[in-house]
Amino acid sequence: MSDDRNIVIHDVSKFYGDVLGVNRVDLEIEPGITSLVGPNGSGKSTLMNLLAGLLRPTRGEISVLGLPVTRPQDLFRRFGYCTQYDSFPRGATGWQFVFSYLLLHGLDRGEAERLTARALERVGLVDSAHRRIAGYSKGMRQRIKLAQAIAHGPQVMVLDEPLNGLDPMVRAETIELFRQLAGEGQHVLISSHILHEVDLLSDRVILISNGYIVAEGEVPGMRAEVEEVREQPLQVFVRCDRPQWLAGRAFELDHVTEVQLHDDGGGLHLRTRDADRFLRLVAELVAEGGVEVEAVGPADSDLQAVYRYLVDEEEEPS
Amino acid sequence: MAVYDHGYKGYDGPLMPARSRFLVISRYGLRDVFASRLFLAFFAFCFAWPLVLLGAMYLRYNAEALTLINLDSADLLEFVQVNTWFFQNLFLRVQLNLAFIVVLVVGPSLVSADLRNRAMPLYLSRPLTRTDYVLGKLVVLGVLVSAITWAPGLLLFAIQASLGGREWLLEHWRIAPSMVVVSVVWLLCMSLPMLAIAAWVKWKPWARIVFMGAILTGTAFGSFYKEFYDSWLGSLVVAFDVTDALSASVFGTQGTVQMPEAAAWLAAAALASLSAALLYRRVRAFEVVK
Repeated sequence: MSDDRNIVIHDVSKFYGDVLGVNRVDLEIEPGITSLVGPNGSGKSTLMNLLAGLLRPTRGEISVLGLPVTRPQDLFRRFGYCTQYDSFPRGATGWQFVFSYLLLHGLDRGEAERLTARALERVGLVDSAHRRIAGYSKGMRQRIKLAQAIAHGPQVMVLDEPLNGLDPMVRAETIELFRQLAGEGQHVLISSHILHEVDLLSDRVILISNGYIVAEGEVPGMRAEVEEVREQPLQVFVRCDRPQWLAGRAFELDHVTEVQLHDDGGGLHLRTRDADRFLRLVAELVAEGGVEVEAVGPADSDLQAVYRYLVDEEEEPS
Repeated sequence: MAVYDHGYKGYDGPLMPARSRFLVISRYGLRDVFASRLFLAFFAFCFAWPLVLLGAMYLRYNAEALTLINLDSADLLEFVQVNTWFFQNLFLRVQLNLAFIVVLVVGPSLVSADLRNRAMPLYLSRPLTRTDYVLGKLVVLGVLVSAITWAPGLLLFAIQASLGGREWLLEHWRIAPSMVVVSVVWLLCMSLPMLAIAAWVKWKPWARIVFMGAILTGTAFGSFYKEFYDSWLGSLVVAFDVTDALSASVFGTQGTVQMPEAAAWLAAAALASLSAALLYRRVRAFEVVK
């Protein structure tokens, strides 16, 4: 627990009475963008609130940059938090919202004004700063929440579903902002349901389901690291000139469990427990001139696939 | 994306002392309260009675002014005795009744909206504790109640002391600290329950109804108990009896309620402590439903 550069979660559990929030979580999160992914009720928000010290763990310890989360006066100087809830003072403008919460950090008015202006500029709300938040769109509300979380220049940002409601352009700008912050050596911890974006923007992903961490690590390596996933059939796609013939050959192999022809007749998807053997077969068939292959590759080594294997299947009734 | 640059440095400039940071909450609370013109008008009205008393005190010592309005100074001297009774009953009792309305109107708006709109995570994800938050809200009521109770009371006391001379001051010095103590104790005994109820009910009109209901129920039950059993124990749940007994205890006068001083202090302490505990239990970033 002495690491003053990382977020360290050691054997943390949180129970709400008999209801499990998260259980036996052990994580060490380094600077960069880390995404927390899981279905509703999986424990993402609980874990984020534990990190912010807004909930106390039933057991275990958490430290953020070497600081215990039980001391808000120290922690929140270096910690920015954005909840998933829209909560704004009645009648407040975007400027007032960011500015007033900055004063709670103990800044003088001049410094608070400077940081408010900088935060609003970073989230692209300068033009709307003096409009009432009540008139903001969903995307603008998300951005103003983000502005208040980053305004005081925290080293750790915990952002609960910050990409919700953003249009594609703003989403791209926001992701770019996350990359800038992470590039400076800051921690950006994001929870999200938008898997393909998480896949693209994250340095690391933590998959959580029913309160348990089911996988963590860098997305490309995660699949190979997790034994449970390794045993699942891998989906492979092949674009070729004779998909029906190839499907027939594939079915002769005992490790191929499913084949689907593409609607356009130009390829197929199949599931195999031994992708290497299947790819060797394709190579042999190409060498023999049996088939002309345009493209071949794993169809599901992205985060969506890992998520589906680990989380969806866990949720299916047995 | 690998992170190679660990050169980030956050703000490390001067900061306001952590102990006084809760005053930001108070400042914004007061600003919101005075945004209402209706409340502003009522608050201005709260100073009318102290001004009337100030006028009476002035006339009492100004024979020329009395003759101008055809009043006999002997009559007024007889009518307006500026003594402990004057400050305890004629001034403070009236002002505390007005302060009750202030607490009833302002109290629920301070916390219920924050809790209903899930704003607590916003407050508590700052360098701020739950105690700071409660203190910040309490200071709003403290400023308002003080402004219409002990603060004008001390002003009246100072003016009377300058008019009445050293002899009057030596005889009545206890009035000044008594007004402050009674006002502060009353503030805690009314504000904390109001804030606690607002935190649990979360809807302003209901919070006011529940608060009034609690006081009226306590008064009805206590009065019935007193009558039926001929016992002072019923006064323990009658807010006005407790206030009266406390006031008499502090001012050193004979109260109208037959209730031991210690019992009144104990009832006040229990009410304030219980309310603070209930309030503190509710003021959390997240409501934990078991």
